Amino acid sequence: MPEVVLQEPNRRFNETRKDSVAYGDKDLLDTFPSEQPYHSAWTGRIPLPQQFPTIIYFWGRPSVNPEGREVSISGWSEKEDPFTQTDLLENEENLVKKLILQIRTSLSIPYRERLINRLLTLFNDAKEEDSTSLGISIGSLRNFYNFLRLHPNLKYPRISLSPDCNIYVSWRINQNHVFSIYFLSEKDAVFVVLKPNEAHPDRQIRVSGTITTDILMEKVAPYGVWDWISE
Amino acid sequence: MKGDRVPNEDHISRLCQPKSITEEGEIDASAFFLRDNEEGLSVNWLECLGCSNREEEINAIRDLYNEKFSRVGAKAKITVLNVGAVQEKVLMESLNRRNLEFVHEPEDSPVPDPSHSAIYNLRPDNVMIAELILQLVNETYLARK
Repeated sequence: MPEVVLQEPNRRFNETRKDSVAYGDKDLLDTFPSEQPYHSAWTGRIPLPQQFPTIIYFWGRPSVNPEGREVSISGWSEKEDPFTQTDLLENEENLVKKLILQIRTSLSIPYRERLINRLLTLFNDAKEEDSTSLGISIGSLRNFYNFLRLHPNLKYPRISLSPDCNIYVSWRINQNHVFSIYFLSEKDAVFVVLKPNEAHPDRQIRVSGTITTDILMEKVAPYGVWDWISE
Repeated sequence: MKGDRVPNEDHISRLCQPKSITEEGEIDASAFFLRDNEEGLSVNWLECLGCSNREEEINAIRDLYNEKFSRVGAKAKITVLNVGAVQEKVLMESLNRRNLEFVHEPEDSPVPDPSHSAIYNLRPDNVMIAELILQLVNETYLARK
């Protein structure tokens, strides 16, 4: 029977720290519009437990860090070795909460405190409904956050969660003007636009589609959505 | 009977969990989204309950949901919709004149749910159809007693 190597986690720790330097350098060259630290947490570079079922420490050098110090943005202690489903879930939940709280550093989002409170409420609602769920889908949360950072002049939206815990947001004036976005994992989103047809007042313009969030606003701009969703 | 169409003049109820309720306490369109692995949206056929009025129907549905689901949140709501109104709205206003089907699908387990039904043909364009259904929501109740 093979002997258990108790020092294995520490060796992994050392190797991962070397790799993380490369991640940090990439962050410095990243063209993503970031004015705050930790943004690599939102680009999906932090290895999740299911991708790397081992103890992994990630040390990222923030893009903007006046003191030039390295900041731990994700890590699991040895006691939280994610070998069981319960541990996996707990680690992913913690990551979701950590990502939500990191919105506080996003100065470009004027309603960040309200947004954090809303997302935490939804997270708790989802966990209360089903304790085995993640609360909020990590991919959807990242997608939503990156979208908000691309468009800092958006009004605070109405936010809810789908049954699969993806984020759904809307800006609406009654039922006449609706612009909704369903944030899927990765970069995709489903959008819906409902607005009056000015040439035919008895009719409504209805548009929907699936698109990547980076070009979404460009594609829906012709429908005049900025009129009711921006400050 | 299982597989029967729910008549257009009848009504269905849908449990809207707190995560689909807005900060203002309103039901959002996400309450009518399917899960990835779902084909039909779960609802209950109210007339099938055999109650004499809406209040009795809602009380019966509340009892059922509290027994059936491990946790019905304090903010959870029940919305009541007319089958024919939903069907017509979606048929007339969806991008490809979608014909929704309301099918009676009684369940025996984990809790007997004889009024259980499902709405089919919500995909594709589930998000648009959910927004159309939301426009018909005007009768809501708290899911907890």
